[in-house]
Amino acid sequence: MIWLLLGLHLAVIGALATGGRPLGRFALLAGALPLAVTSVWAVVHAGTTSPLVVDQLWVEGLDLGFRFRMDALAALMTLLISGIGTVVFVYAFGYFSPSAQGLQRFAATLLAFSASMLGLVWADSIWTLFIFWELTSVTSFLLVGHKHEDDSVQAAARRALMITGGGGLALLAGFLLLADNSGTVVISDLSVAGGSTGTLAAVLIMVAAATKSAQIPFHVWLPGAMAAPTPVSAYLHSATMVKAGVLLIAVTGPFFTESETWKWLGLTFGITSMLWGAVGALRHSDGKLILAWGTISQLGLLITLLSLGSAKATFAAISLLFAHALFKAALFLVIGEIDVRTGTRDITQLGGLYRTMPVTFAAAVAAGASMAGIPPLLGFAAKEAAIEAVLGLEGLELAIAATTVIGGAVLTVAYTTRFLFGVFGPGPAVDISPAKLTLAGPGWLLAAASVVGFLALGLANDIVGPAAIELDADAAVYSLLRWPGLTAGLAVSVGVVIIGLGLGARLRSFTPTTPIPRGANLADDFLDGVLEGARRVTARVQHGSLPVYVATMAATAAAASLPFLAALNADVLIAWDRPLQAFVGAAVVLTAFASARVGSRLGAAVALGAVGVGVSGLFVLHGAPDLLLTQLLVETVVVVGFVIGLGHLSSNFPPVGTTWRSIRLGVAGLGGLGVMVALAASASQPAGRPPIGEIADQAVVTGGGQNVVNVILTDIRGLDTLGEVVVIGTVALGILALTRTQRETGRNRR
Amino acid sequence: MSILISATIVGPLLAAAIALLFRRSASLRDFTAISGLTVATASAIGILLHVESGGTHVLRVGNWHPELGIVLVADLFAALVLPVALLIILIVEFFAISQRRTAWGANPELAGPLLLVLTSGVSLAILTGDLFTLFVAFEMILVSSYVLLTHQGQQAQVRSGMTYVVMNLLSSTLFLFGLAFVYAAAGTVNMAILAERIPTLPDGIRWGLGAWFFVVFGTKAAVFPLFSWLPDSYPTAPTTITAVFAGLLTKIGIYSMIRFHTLMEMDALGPALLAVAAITMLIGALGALAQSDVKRILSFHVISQIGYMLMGLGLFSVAGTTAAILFLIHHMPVKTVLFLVGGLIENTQGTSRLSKLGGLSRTSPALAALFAVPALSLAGLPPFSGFVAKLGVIRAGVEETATLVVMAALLAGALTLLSMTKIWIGVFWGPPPEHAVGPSPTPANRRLMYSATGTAVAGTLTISLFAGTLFDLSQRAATGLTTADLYIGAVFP
Repeated sequence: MIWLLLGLHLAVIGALATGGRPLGRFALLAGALPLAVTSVWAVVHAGTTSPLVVDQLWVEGLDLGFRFRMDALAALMTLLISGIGTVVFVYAFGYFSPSAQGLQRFAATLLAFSASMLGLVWADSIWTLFIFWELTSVTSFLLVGHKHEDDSVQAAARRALMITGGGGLALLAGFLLLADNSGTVVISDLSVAGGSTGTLAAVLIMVAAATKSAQIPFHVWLPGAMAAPTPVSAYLHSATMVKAGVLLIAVTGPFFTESETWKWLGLTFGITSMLWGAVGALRHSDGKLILAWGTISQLGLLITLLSLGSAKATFAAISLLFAHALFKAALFLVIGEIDVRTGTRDITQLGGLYRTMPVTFAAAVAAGASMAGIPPLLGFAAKEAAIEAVLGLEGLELAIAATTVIGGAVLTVAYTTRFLFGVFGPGPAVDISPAKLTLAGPGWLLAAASVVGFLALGLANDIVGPAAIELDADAAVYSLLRWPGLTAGLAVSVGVVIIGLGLGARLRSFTPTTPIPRGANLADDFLDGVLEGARRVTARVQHGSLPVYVATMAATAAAASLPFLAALNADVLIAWDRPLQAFVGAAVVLTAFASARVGSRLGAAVALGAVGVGVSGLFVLHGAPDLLLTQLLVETVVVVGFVIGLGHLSSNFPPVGTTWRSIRLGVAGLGGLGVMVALAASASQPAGRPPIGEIADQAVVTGGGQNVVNVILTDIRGLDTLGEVVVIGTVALGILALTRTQRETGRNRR
Repeated sequence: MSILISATIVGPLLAAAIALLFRRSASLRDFTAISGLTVATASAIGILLHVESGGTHVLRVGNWHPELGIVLVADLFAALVLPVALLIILIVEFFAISQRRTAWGANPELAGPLLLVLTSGVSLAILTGDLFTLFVAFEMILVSSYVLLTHQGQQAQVRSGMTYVVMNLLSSTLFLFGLAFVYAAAGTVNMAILAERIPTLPDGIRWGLGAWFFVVFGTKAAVFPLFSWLPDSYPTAPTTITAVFAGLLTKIGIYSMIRFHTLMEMDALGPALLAVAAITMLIGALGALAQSDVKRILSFHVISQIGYMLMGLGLFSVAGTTAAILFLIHHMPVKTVLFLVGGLIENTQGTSRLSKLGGLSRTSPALAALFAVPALSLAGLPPFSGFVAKLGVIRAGVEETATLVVMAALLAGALTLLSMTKIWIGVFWGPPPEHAVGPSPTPANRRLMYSATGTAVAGTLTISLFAGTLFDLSQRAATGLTTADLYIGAVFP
């Protein structure tokens, strides 16, 4: 079934991406189809106790494969992804104007994201999880950049990709360590990671989760991602993708139970984000940004709870995750509708909408109340569970977690109040365009889900409970309560709501100047700094000067000959066989030196020729007259070629600074010395001799020739000769081509 | 089997000679070139099938005993790389034929035959079991590529061709010196005998030879600090030629290095190789970030990716070598495709400069898709072959606890991704440029260009899909290299 569903998604994505006849907005309805099917399947599996596992190996040698496991937790996530996804696709149909361009590709990309997200939550192998994790980053990049004509949108998309992509690298490293430690890649079979490896893996995985779930200081991409169309913000950046980090912490948490680092790093991320995110929500007046900062805060709360690691906290976290997805998506859809119908989403400019958009107002109040944790809504029951969980702690954890979670809850009530007042509250009425059911209905539906979730709390328990048990078997004793009784938790909650309402009402008319996105700017500056640094490094390395490249190469070769020094055996070295060799050798060295020093081009060519003649002299001394002839022929041709070629050039080399000249001479000398040392060392202790006698015999017997060199060239190593003939032919072709183009351009000029 | 091996080397040469005869008929010329390449490619696939089931096949050229003459050795490593390399050339030739008549096309009379000579050289370099013949193969590749680079006679090409040819000739000279050292020390250039004798040499000579040939092959492969010739010369050539160069030439360097350094058991050089690998990856990725031209960015990626392959080799473990081989197989087509897409951009827009491009995701979504797949693959993102290859290299690194180079590999991955977003944002996003350069005045056969590129993209996806099989084959090939006795045993049964 999992394969069928993924196949269905792929088929629709493919059809949308390559489809010939443009469907326009209707592509979005087509995209809703596979998700609707999936949501039915998710409902069937909700709260399942017998997980469905499928496994398909891809690269066996790397333990790379697609292993999926549909358990209760995966079912809960699937329900959110496919259910909210279906709603969002329908909403997008109403959101975009019929004349909007590129909707078919948008629908394909959005559906590709859905499929990646489904794969992520089904994954039961760390590599499967990683594959889909990265795919969500890439599809998110494309979706954020939907309106890519805008520079700020491009920057936001790049920022989001690089931060989550960087997190992906941390995840890769962390998973490698975890797999190395456990000897398996199947998530449900991993073992507890302790020691320094465990700590390192814990840090890497926690950081990866923090980038994806927009935890401070990695949160800077999320507000920027609000540049995406609202359906994307509602779906990716509140309900699903940002939950991937939370899910990662939930799933891998059991393997870090021994790690204090894991717990405290998670608490640091969670608590900072919970508080600063809520403050951020109070500082902004753009409705979407308020919600986005609220998301950072809520995700912080989830991570705080999961990091505590107790069964009760885990249960509360899963409940909140469920509730949050519902109410936050609803609020995004509402603000998107308002944006479309009024042309603004700034709370300082909106007003009077409670009269003109009553149903939407009711929906927003319901979703907002759920966010604030007020009955009779699902958010209340979940928040109660969270407060109970932190009140049940002891010692330092109690002090830290209880105060911050309660403080965060107060701020949440406050920004919710401010949001609702700002958007709908009294004020000069703004003009609104006519209502559209496809635009308004999805928001109402999701808001209603928060109400139904509370009224039919048993149903919610059936979904959430087994999911929490998947993570921690001890969570079985907990359930969401409609009425907790007169407990300390309830008293705290009442206090939280009262203080929060008061704070929110006071801040109602607080219109701060829009905060400068310092963090986002810093991230962009960092990326630009990397580009600038790259430019500097490259300008140094890739300067374009051929002589420097050549010198670098000669120096590298000299360095490579250093090992030979160790094997240089002075005992077997002799200066010369015959003194004449020394004389000719010295002449070769001198003429070579002269060719480097001489200032005129012709002089250098002649000196080079002299080097060649000297070398052929050495051939004579070694009794190789055929080589002598060849060498002389080559030298003659080369010198003649030089003389012809030099006619087009100035008679002298361009002047070179003394320092640079000395460096060049030095490097060349070192290179030459290197070759000498290497050759002397290599020849001093050979591990084998060439089969000279054998070749000589065979040349006559098998080759049928009396001249060994000829037989070698034409028979024994005939293939080499063929290759060299081809080389010479090719060179001739090249010269022909160059002179011909030159002649043609010359003719054109005339 | 021997006929197949010969066909991959002699087939293209024959076709080159015949194509040169057809001076007037372009279609006959193209037909000859395509036939020659098809024969060679089909033979290469045949070799792979044979070797996969029947083991290494050795062809004694002229039937001379290996101690005297030249052997061509089709082991699994060669048999794996050869068909990929030849298929790439075949696809590029199709692309080139359709691009011929544009300002960006290569000279039709010469480009075809020269590409065939290059093909022959590539086959010879991959198959040879003789170090001197490898030198000859390098020469064939070098001169044909040099002429391909400069034959249009444009000033920029001739100037950058100068850098190219001087650096590569210098590396050939060093190769020749290296051959002298080897012959003096071991009395042979037959690789199987060398694999027996070099490990018995005194340490200084042994590591010296390893270091020397590292410089020789490293220049071909464009590793730090010997890479400078590459980004200066590649972007100036016609796209089709750059596509072949980028896909194949540096890879022949790293291929030879993998073969030489594993067979000759140069394990002690591991740390040095890993250090160079780390710097190469990072410098290449940084260099890519610094560029503002599609072809230049892609050229620097070649360098950075070579670093990953070098890392796999430098680990000197079966897992590392396996990953290096898999990386090689993945990288060749991906890199070629990226340059072909660069060529398509240049052809439809008239430029490859980021500042003069924009908005192509709206105007040519097909191009965006053709770019996205290999780009993500090159950046090592799943589920593409680049991810498998990168994971293989990094996992092998973790196994050997080579922490620093693993960190460099991860960082280089992030930088590569950043440079890909630079291309993506510059070319495919944003408003279309106000002063568009416009496509070439003589329109090329676009459909053929697109289908050639599309086929190549499909090829890279196939590699992704069958990454498991390829990994197994790479592992067998790596075992064949790291266990030198297998190679020796095949040459001297």
